[in-house]
Amino acid sequence: MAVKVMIACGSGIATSAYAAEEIQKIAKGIGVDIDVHKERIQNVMANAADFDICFVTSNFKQDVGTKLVRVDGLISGINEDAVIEDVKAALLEAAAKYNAD
Amino acid sequence: MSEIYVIEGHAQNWREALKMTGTKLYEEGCVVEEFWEKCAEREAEYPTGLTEFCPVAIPHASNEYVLRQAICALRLDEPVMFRSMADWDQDIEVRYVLNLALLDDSEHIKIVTRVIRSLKDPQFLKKMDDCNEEELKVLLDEYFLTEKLDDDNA
Repeated sequence: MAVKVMIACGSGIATSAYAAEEIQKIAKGIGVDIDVHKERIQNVMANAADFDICFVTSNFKQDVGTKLVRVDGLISGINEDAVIEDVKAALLEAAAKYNAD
Repeated sequence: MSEIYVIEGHAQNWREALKMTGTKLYEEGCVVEEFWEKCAEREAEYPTGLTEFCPVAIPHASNEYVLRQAICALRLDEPVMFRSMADWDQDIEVRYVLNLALLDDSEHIKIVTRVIRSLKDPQFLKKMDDCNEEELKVLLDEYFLTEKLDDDNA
């Protein structure tokens, strides 16, 4: 079963498009299947419940009730390795939940 | 097929820089007239300044205001402040504004990916700085519009 991930940025088409490519690659690397949906930041709150993880390319930090991971480091390159580890951990955790069910 | 336009000039602030790039894209028939204002609205809410190490902003607006995919690169004679994408409370100096007029197709993902990959490489910025206006257009065409940086070729 694929992990459902939302990737959100301000417009839903620019940085989220890049982050989606990178997160797909990371997921493939650790053998996790993902379904990716790109979204605008303003819609994160309304749609978060439909996803296992919400990745955001900014410092959006409201509690959306779903695991929220900041991935702006993938874009700026700052602390990129740590961000990649966060992405992996979140994907593996979500995948494990499916396997347990 | 996407197009890159390079301009140089002076802006008082980020809004003016967006107006310069948006106006150029409008004159070239790539976007509708209100495109730059939509970029400015978006920028105020979701800033696109990169980092203190990368004095570049990548403003854009929703694809509904875009007619033809293009990028207008503005090189500023003096930096203007943009807010940081990663930390909305932080201002960063920007010397290059890459205004992205993106459609939502498979090509736009390639272009955004190439732009971000290029900008993460400090050598690329150095190359941009070393170019005159004409050379900058050649450089950006090569890095943003060809397959040079794509995964299959990396």
